[in-house]
Parts: sequence; structure tokens; C-alpha cells
Amino acid sequence: MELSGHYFPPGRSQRLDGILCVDAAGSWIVMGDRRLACDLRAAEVSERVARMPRSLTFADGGRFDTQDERLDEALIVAGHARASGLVHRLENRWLWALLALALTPALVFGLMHYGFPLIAKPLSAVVPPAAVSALDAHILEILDDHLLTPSELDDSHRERAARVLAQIDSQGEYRLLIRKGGALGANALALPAGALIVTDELLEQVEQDGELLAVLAHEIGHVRERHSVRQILQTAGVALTLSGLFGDLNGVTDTLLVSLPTVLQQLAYSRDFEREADAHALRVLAEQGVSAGCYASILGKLEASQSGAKETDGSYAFLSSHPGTAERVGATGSAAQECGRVAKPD
Amino acid sequence: MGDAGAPIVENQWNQPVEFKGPEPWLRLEFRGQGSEYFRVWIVNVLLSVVTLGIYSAWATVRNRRYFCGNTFLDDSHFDFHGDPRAILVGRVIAIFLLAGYAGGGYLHPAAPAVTLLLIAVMMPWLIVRSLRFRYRNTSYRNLRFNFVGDARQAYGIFGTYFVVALLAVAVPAGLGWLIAQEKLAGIGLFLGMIMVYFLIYPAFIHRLTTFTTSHSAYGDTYFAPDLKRPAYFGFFLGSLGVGLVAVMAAGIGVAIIGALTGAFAGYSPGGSAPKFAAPLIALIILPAYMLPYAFWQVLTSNYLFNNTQLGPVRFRSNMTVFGYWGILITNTLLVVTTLGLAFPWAKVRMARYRVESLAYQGDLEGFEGSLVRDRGAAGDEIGDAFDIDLVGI
Repeated sequence: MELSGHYFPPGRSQRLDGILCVDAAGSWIVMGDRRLACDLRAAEVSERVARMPRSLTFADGGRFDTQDERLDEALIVAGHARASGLVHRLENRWLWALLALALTPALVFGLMHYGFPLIAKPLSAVVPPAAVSALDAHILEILDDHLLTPSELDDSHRERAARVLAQIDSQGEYRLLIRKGGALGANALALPAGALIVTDELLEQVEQDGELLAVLAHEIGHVRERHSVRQILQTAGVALTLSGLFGDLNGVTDTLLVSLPTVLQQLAYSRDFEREADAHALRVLAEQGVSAGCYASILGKLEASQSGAKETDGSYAFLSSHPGTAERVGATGSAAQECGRVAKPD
Repeated sequence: MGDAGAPIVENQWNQPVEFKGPEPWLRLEFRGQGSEYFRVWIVNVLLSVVTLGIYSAWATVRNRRYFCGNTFLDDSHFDFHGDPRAILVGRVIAIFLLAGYAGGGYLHPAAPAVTLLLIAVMMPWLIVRSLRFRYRNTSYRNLRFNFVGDARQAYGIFGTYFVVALLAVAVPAGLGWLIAQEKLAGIGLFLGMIMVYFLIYPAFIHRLTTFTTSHSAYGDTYFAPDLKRPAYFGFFLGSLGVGLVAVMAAGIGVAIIGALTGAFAGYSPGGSAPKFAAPLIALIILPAYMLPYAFWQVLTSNYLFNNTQLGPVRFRSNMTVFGYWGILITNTLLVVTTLGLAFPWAKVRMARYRVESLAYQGDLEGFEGSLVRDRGAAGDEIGDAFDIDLVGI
């Protein structure tokens, strides 16, 4: 069998036209009147990529390149182990390429929506609690320096908040901090290690204990479910995936196809976490025998106090860190008027 | 067939070859095709996603081989031989650094800053490592490229310019302070930063480029760059000037669109502009933002090729700012409007433009190299060499 190609001697940038002759007795490269014996069995066969010629690199560093399709046959004749070339076969067919085109977005979508959340949940439990509490102090410092000011409420509000928290936190795992919200307005936050910040503005809106209970239970839900760690892990997964796909073209495509979708997905995760925390709040309310209507009631009040500048028609829902209030109130399965009426103990 | 251990090829090419005389300028050629690369790309993307990123190292090797293998010089192509496992190691290190920067703040407030500092300190070493990996694993006509710069030299360059930049800021600021406290210290600081920006940074790029190029070799023949520092001052000032003009032009364009769409919509306080205004404005701002980048890339790259010799071989690069800029803009539009689907075509277009802007003159046949690959050592090399995608060369 004769395959035409080029021979490259070792250590020299020379290309010589040559013919690889293979038969049962051995193999030679013939170049004009020169004849080189070569050991095909010991040669390294390059992996195939597109139309690139395949190379045989011999033990001494010399190389023979050929486009001849019969190379595989020649290798078998010479007793060489067969190269798989599986990936090349996939790349070479439009059918497989189109299949990959259909599967990839589906897989990426599945990974982002189900895969990363699934992986992040058990992974988040590995982060040591001590590490988290060090962070709490740091975040609180930043918040106190830039956003929050000391509470201006009287003691009755504080006592009420402490009493309500004690009702659902018998172990004393959570630390209640009351601050004037300023730009944050009526709001509540949870820090990763379990500090719960409630603003004066929110406490002033609370009429029933049940409303405050619902808010605190929601924030405790964030802490218990380790939403902050999970958010970091999941978002990192998304960012790595997308930059792996489109990362090396230029700054603009990077922004539009990597950073922007990452932020949108991060917001989607955030909405999912809010739903989880809401579900936790509703469970706690049920345990305490408090009507779910109390949650509906306080959600309505918070919405009213903050809706000044907000879009309420839901067309920008994908840009929001929280699900729409209508959806959240709907999920309580109860009406605001129910708050305070039902008080049957468990 | 001979014995397994004995050399089987009778090497008759040990006599040195004389370089032939000057030859005409010949163009390099890029033979890749968008539709073909699309298939390579999408299959490798799928395999990378399925394996949660592990295959991505193997995919990188196939992608690089595609681009090297379609770059032709005198009818012979380049090739890439990097070990995917080395790339995987580099990628794991990069992910750890990224995690330290992005997520480390969760463990300790100082972690991101410490990671950033660590990356800055490692940078010269990383650059040398990744250049060495890249060059040693690239071949043309069965002869490898090489990079022999060591980390010590790279640290020398980075360190020197860091100290010079520090002094350039601290000395005028300090002098200003001594003379008239706050009043002059600010001005001194400002002057110092101007110096760093306009003089020290371009000088640093000049020094670094000279270092990386002169320590690169094809076989045993070193690249010989003859780069003048003032040229880099010019490129830098030029791209700043071009950027300024582009931003002003874009500003005028945006103002005109604002006025026109405002007239359409009828001005009302708090009213929003029509929906087509935003994409129109983006169409004006994006090109303006890309122009200084294109200017810098094209001028420095042409200059480097036009003033670097490799043995008897000389190069010419004649990319144009507008040609490169046009490809950047249309590629971006193409990729963004197809949600990434046109990515392979965009990469092939840019590669073709860059490669086919190059021409060479001189004999390519006479290079020799002692860096003969030792196949047995490939495994040992991994702990020592890894590739982090730092240098886009």
C-alpha cells in the first residue's frame, strides 16, 4: 500500500515529498532515490481535527503527514493499535453537530435551573459556621457605616420584637438588630450567620404580632436554608459556564452574553430563594397557629410603602430580586383580613 | 523492522543547510471555514457541558489545533501539541484563584484582596509559564517554537516599572506637599499619574514585548525584535486621541438621536423615549468604544511583525485600523443578534483577517532545532508546566 504525503526530518524545518509504503514485510518512506525504514507500530498518530492531514511521529522525532484516507488500513496492516477518532467523527457530521446544537442549550438551561441549585444545596452545608459569623460582623459594619442609623423607636417596639422572636426562636440562635432604615425604608434583612435586621419603618407598620412573626420567620428561612452561600455557588456555576461558552471574543460580547445573563440568572435564583423563605414563613405561621393572612397583610403594607417608583404590571419581573407581591400574597392562600382572627393553638 | 530500542530511521540530513537568498514576499493563508469550525465548536461545547467542564481542556486543544492547522505558511501548516491534562491543571488553579476572589469574601472579609494581591504577585511567573507552554507546544514543519525567558527576568521588569511608577507618583506628590501641603500635593499626584499613564505604561509595554519576543525562538533561532520605545508612546497617545474623537462623535450622534426621537415622542417630563432609541444608541456607542482598542491592537501588532526578524525571514503585517475595527463591529453584532450561535464564524473571520494580513520573505527550510521532543517525559512535565489563558498570542 502506498500513501503519498510529506516527510519532515527531525530537528529541521524541511518538508520533503514522500511516499509511505506499507506491506507485511515492513514500512518505508520513499523520497526520490532515498529510502527510509520506519517503524509504524511505534509511531504516534495525531488525533484528527477537521481537514488537517494526519501525522505519524516516529521514535526519532521525524514525522510523516498524509491526507490519504487509507492511513487507518495501513496502520492495521502494520499492526498499530487503532486510534479512536470518535470526536472527529462527531465533528465531521452535520447530523451530530445539529444534535449538539439542540442539546447544548437544553443542557445549559437544565444545569442553570436545576443542576446548580441541586449541587449547591449539599455543598453549602460544608462551609464552616465560624467562617460565616466572621462575615456577619463585617457586613453589619458596612451597613452601619453607609446605610443604617441607630433605631429611634421607643422600648415598647423593641420589647415586642424580642417577644415575637423568642416565640419562634426558643434556642436563641438568632440575634435581633433594630436600625433606622433610611434609604432602605420598611425592610428586614438576614445576615448569613443569623443576625436579623429589622428597620424602624417596618416595625411602625406592624399592627398584629402575627405580621412581625411572619417577617422574622421569612428572614430565618433565608438563614436556615443558607441562601447566601447557595447564591454565591450557583452564580459562580453560571458565570463559569457562560464564560466557558463565549468568553474569549471581546468585551462587548462578554458583557452581553456572559455578564448580563449571569445577572439575570442570579435574580432568578434570588426569586426562588424568596419563595423558599416565604414557604418557611408560612410553615412557621401554621405551627404557631397564626393565620397566613398576617403574612398577606404585612406584604401588602410593605408593597404600599415602597411602590412609589416601582413597576407594578409585572413586565419587568425578570429584573426583580423578589417575586411580585401579588404572587406572594396569593401563595399564602389567605387574605389580609384573616390576620388576628384565627388564633387557634396547635 | 529493527529492534525496539534501536534508532530505525537512517538520518541523512545532518549536514547544515545554507539559507537561500532573498525571496519575494509571500502571504500567509488561513484555510479554516466557519461552517466547519462550527461543527468542531458545538460538539466540543456539548462534550464540555456534559462533563461539567472537565473535557473543556481537551476541547481547547482541539480548538487550538484547528486554528494552528489552518494557518499556512508556504503551504505548510502550524500545529499545537499541548497536553490537555496540563491545561486542566491550569484551569483548576485558575478556578481556585477565581473562587478566592469572588467567593472568598464569604469565608474571610480580606480574602478577595489577598487573592488579588496573590494574582498580582504571581503574574510575571504565570506569564512566563503560559508563554513557555504555548510556544513549546506549537510547531511548524515538525520544528517546535520555544520560549526561554525565565520568571526572574519577568519579575525584574515588572518590579522595576512598578517601583518607577510608584516613584513617579510619590515624588511629585511629596514635593508638592513639602512646598504647599494640600494645595500642591494634589497637583503633584495628578502630574505623577499623568506620567505613569502616558510615559511609564507605554514604556512598560515596549519593554515587556521586547522581552517576550526576543526570548522566543523557532527551533534554535531566536526572534530578533528591533522595537523603539517612542513608537509605543505614539501608539498610546494615538489610541487615546482616536478614542476621544470617537467618544465625542458618538456623543453628538446620541444627542441627534435623542433630539429626533424626542421630537417623535413629544417631550414630557418623566416620559420614556421610544423603544427603538436604545438599540440605536448602542449601535453608535459600541463602535466608538471599540475604535481605540482596534487602533492600539493594529498598530502595535503591525509594528511588532514589521520590526522583528527570524534568522533570514522577515515579516510584514498590513492590518488596517478600519479593517480590524469593521470586523470587530460586525462580529459583535453577528454574535449578539444570534445569541452566540455565530461565534465560530466570528472567530474564523478574525483569524483569517489577522493571518492573511501577514506576509514573509526569506527561506523557511533552513531552521534547526535541538529541542527534540522526548515522548517519555511528557507525563513528568505536567506538574511543572500548566497553561493558564493569559496571553492571547
